[in-house]
Amino acid sequence: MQEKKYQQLQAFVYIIDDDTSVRDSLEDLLQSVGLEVKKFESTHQFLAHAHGALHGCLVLDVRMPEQSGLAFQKQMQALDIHLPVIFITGHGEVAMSVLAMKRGAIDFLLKPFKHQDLIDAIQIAMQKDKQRVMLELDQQHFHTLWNKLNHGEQEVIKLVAKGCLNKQIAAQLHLSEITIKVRRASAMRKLELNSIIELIHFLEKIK
Amino acid sequence: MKMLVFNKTQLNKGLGYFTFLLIVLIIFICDTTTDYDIAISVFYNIVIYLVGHQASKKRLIYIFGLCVFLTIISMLLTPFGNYKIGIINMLISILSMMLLTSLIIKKAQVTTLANEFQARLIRISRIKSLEGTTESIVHEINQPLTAIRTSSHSAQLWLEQNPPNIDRALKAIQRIDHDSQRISHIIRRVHRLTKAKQPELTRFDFNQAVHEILTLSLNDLEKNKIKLNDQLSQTKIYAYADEIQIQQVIHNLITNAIDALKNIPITQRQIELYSNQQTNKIVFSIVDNGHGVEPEQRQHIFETFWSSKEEGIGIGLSICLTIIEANHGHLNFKANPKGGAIFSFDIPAAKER
Repeated sequence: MQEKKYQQLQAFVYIIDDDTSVRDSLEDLLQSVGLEVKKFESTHQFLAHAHGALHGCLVLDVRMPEQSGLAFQKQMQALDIHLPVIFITGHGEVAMSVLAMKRGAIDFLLKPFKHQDLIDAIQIAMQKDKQRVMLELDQQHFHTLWNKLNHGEQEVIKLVAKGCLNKQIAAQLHLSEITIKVRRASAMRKLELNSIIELIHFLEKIK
Repeated sequence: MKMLVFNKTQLNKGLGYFTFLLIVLIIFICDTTTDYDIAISVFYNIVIYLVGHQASKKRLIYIFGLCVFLTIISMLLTPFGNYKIGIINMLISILSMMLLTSLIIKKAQVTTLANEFQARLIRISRIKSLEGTTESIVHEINQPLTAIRTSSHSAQLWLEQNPPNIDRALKAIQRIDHDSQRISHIIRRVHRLTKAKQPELTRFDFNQAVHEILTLSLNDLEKNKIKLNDQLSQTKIYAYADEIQIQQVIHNLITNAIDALKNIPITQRQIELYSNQQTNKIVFSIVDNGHGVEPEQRQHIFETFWSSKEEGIGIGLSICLTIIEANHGHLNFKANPKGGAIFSFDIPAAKER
């Protein structure tokens, strides 16, 4: 699929924690297992420096002086940031952790946590993010293909997917059967599809 | 002629005992020279009462013994009066002296016990006042602790690489050292808070001490959405007192202020801190806009066991008073005209170097 394109994107583990010791030691740990890291001391600093499409995952402290991790998680949707979130916190409050998980966090770890737990959570998060990005790339690809078709081809192919015969399509669109056959073939070629089943799947994906 | 020099207390004590013995003598003479019907010896109780306030248990019993002895001698020496009445009067006197002496001894025991309990309660209250800061402490210690665990694991990973990355491993170990020191610092600070000591007077930067103790309350302030208005003096001011004890008082006052704001709407909660130097005193005030103290209760707030809180044991403020006074200062309370309370204290300023 779009594996090649994905490899071109850089995925980072973004760390946001107000404590310097924690930040530095986490960066070192993750780098030692081969991950790329970017660290920030507050959510505001993160927003100021992180531009464009963000790929990877977010390791977020809960209690921070300027803005709490939980509040930021809530805000991420509005900011169009879709990074999977892993919370690390010095406090264990059940209500807090339940809320975080309900809002879609990957995990909620208490300090001092087992490093393996964090690394495992990061792997899961990165995988989830990869899936999301791949899906997006696929979508983009399909839309690109669809836009290659001209209006006539799009009309015809939609009716083909519905199960109409060429003759019926011709009658409906007031065109000759030959025109239909030509447009149909051209569309299938442009869309890189080989069967009606594939066509039906394709159209579902781009809805 | 040799000059014998006494210090003031010894002189007073000496005079005191001399006075007592004089009174005893007078009573003895009166008793012996009056007839049996008048129980002058009951007046020995005055001596016992006066002595009882100052003397040790042993001394008191000696005096008691002396008075009883003198009463009996008087009885035997008295030349006139009804013998029977004389005996009865003597017994009355001795009985009253016995009762008084035992009561005085009992009172002394109870006082000692009460003092012991108060000392215990003071310790409990100190520990209780730490409860609010436990969250802060846990959080503060967990941070460097997390970093240490993480760094030790990454050091291992760096060394397990092929070839081992000694440089990164070393950096990780340096971080471990740094963070361990951080933890022992915190622990030492917390430990000091629970100790009870005689004031160790030193010269210290007052505002810095305030800021240091404030860090223990930051968590609470944030959790309760209280706005802190720092109006400490712009210039450095130096106090001469026991720094840790003064910090204890400040911490207690801040905790009280935080409590007082619990029923105030979230957007309005505010605590203001002031400090400045006035001639040879350092003055510190903490103002809150909480529910304040009822006018009729204001005179009681520094009393032991007084508390307006349902769960409080009301010892905090009386300890604060004790500490401030032990540090040669004054602690007082004023109502905030805008509603709420103003607690302020003054302590000696350090002399100019």
